Amino acid sequence: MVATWTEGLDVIINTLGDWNRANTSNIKPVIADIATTLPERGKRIDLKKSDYVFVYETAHNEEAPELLYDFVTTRINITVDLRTTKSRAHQQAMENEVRRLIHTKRKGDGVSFDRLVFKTRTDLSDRTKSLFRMTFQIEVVIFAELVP
Amino acid sequence: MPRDEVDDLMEELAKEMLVEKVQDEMRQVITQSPPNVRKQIEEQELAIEGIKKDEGGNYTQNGRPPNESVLKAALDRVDKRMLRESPALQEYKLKFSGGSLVPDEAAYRRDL
Repeated sequence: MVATWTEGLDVIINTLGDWNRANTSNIKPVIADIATTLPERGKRIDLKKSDYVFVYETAHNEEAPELLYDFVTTRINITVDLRTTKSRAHQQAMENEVRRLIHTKRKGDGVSFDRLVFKTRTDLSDRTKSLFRMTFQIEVVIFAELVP
Repeated sequence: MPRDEVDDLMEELAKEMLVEKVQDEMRQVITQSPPNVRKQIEEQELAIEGIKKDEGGNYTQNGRPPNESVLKAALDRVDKRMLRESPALQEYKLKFSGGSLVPDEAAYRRDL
């Protein structure tokens, strides 16, 4: 079987690409696949200049939803790592924008995926660095895909 | 929706899982496996602090041992993330809710 659909990671990056800067004090964050940043780039990203939204895949599972195994349902877990040093309020505005964007595509695009589920959130803020950081788990679901 | 056998099963399972000793054991499994995911998340979190881990498992920051509280905070973040991101959660049909690992009812129902 050849994967012809958009990768789960790209689905999320494309969805977040519609970021409305008006909702986040006219600041659009850098949205990137963490794997495209250089090794150990994390410590060098300049949070004073930009906000960041890093995206990466954490799990990819194929389930056989029926006994005959003619179809598979795929669940892809994506982590969205949102970082800013501006303020808690700004971070909350960014979180609201992420939620808004994910919910606009919650029922899929009819081609590459069927559902986007906003799952859990983890607060990883660090007061000592005044870093406001949240990670979100977002599940991309592709229902009953025919196995040829 | 009327109560069914799965509801009873989930209730029993959650009761068993919420025992402190069981929670500790499950946390250990979820935060440490799969090892490659743990390693990846650890690298990301340590990189934020500029800490490196060598093959012998020693941590260094600019060629010197890192500040213990900084290292602990980074490793705590790794555990925190693993409890929500680990693919082992899907494998064992668990979810992290209200500070505890509990059975993922939706995952069980999908398998029926």
